Amino acid sequence: MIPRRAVGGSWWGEFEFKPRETRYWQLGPFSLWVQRTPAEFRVTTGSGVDLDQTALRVGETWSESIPEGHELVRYSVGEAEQGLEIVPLMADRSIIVKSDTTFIVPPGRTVMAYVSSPLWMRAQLLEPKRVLHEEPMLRPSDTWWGPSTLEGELCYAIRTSVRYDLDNLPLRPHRAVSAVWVVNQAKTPLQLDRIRLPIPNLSLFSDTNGRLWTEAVTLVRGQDDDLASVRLEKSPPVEAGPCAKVVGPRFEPEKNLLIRAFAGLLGQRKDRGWF
Amino acid sequence: MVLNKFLHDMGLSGLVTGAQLADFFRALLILGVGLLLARLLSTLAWRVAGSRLGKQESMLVRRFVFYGLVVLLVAVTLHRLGFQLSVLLGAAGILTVAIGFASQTSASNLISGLFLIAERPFVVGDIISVDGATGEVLSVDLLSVKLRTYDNLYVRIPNETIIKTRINNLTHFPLRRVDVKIGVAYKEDLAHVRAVLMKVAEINPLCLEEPPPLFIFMGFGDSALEMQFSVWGMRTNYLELLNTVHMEIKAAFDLEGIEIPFPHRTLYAGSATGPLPIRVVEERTDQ
Repeated sequence: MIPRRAVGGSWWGEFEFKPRETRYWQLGPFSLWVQRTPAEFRVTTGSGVDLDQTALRVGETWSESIPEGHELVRYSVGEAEQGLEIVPLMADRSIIVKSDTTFIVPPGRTVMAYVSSPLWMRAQLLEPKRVLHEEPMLRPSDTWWGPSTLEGELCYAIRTSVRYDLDNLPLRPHRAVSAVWVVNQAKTPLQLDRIRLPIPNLSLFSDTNGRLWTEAVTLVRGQDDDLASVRLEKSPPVEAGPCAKVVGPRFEPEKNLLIRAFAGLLGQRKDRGWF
Repeated sequence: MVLNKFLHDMGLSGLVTGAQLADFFRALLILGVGLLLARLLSTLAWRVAGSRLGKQESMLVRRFVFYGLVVLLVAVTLHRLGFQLSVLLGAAGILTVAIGFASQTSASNLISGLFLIAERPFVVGDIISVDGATGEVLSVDLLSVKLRTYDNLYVRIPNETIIKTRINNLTHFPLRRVDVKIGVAYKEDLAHVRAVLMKVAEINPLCLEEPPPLFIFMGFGDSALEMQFSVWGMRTNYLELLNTVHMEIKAAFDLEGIEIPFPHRTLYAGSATGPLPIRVVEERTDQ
């Protein structure tokens, strides 16, 4: 049952399967069963109702029958393939973080907040590494990020309490934490009700407790508009303690990234003309 | 020599000379090989254009190259057969006037096709709804537009019709809105109904969080409080969103005990008369 190579209290790594063995993962609200039959890997997944669940069970042998009502996908593989690697991944689109409460950064101020975003799970064969299965552990809602319905970009939306204290942040295996610095160099206040984070450009790191972190992100608003220059730091913030890199970004970030990072700037929301 | 002998054997030596027959075969050869070359070149042009231009533009390039070469080939073949092209073109001018009168519809379609290509209200691959037919645009030609409808019918719509009538292009913008018309019973609390609907939109991952869902009160209906609930989604998810939103609203209303009423009729006899007499008839049972 012990994974061949897993880090700290983590749920990812390489796992060996005996013939006809079923292993089970419970990662917050997300359940995963992987069954090895003579010619197949059978992957069954399911989602719970409580999205803030923190339960963690890693690759345990499952001797009962898999509960019905979950989605099963069968992958045909050779007999020699006895192992699988389970990898956490960041989302495949940018994420719009919507705060539960309105927060305003006055001109000239800098704030740091912790934001947690849902992760994707990937199961891949060991040698050569071939992706078998990938899906979100918690499917965020779609959202549109742009000035009108004619132009913009499809993103994911998450509603979260933006936290300023690490102690208030629960350890949830299906989410990764990003430390976001917001620097308001403009002359007008910045309303932080929605922030866009370039999630596919971020790597994943694990601290000693098995919590997943991304690099710290700094958003600098220089002008009186909703554009921000984005700086991705080299590592998670010092508050995370010693961290080991787990997986790289989905897409390599561009240098000098300038994105439309803020929305809901004071007095601008009504001009959008969604009707 | 061989041809002359062949003509002599066939008894045609007085009608056609060997040289004329050789010219005829040469012209046929030019036409055959030329047509083959025209097809090859137009396919080549289509491939080259396809890598740089859109689907529709590359299709147009292919057609222009092919028909241009065919016109050239016909001219060369006629010249080889001994026709005077200047005389033919003069005759063609007179013929064009006659044909023009006879084929006004085709000419109108042709002109409309040119306008359509220039205006580009849709391109190959778009889903359009025109003249009662909805389907994917297969090609935009000089005379007509061809559609494949969702039930797999091939529909040809003349360009003139398209220019004159209203076209709905369903795939022009990236987002679409699903409008759900709902009626709830008069006893329901509208604020609660609104909250339930907003929760449905929040939970459905295909329903966009921004632009936000719309709740519009439409009026006091005959049997229900009428409202419209509109949610936004990606156009690629339109059908799935349409189905899931309706199913989830019904499930949420059932869970919350919100009544979707059917038409009611209240009989009222007026104030001048007494109430309607009602007699309860019991079912008889045999003794």
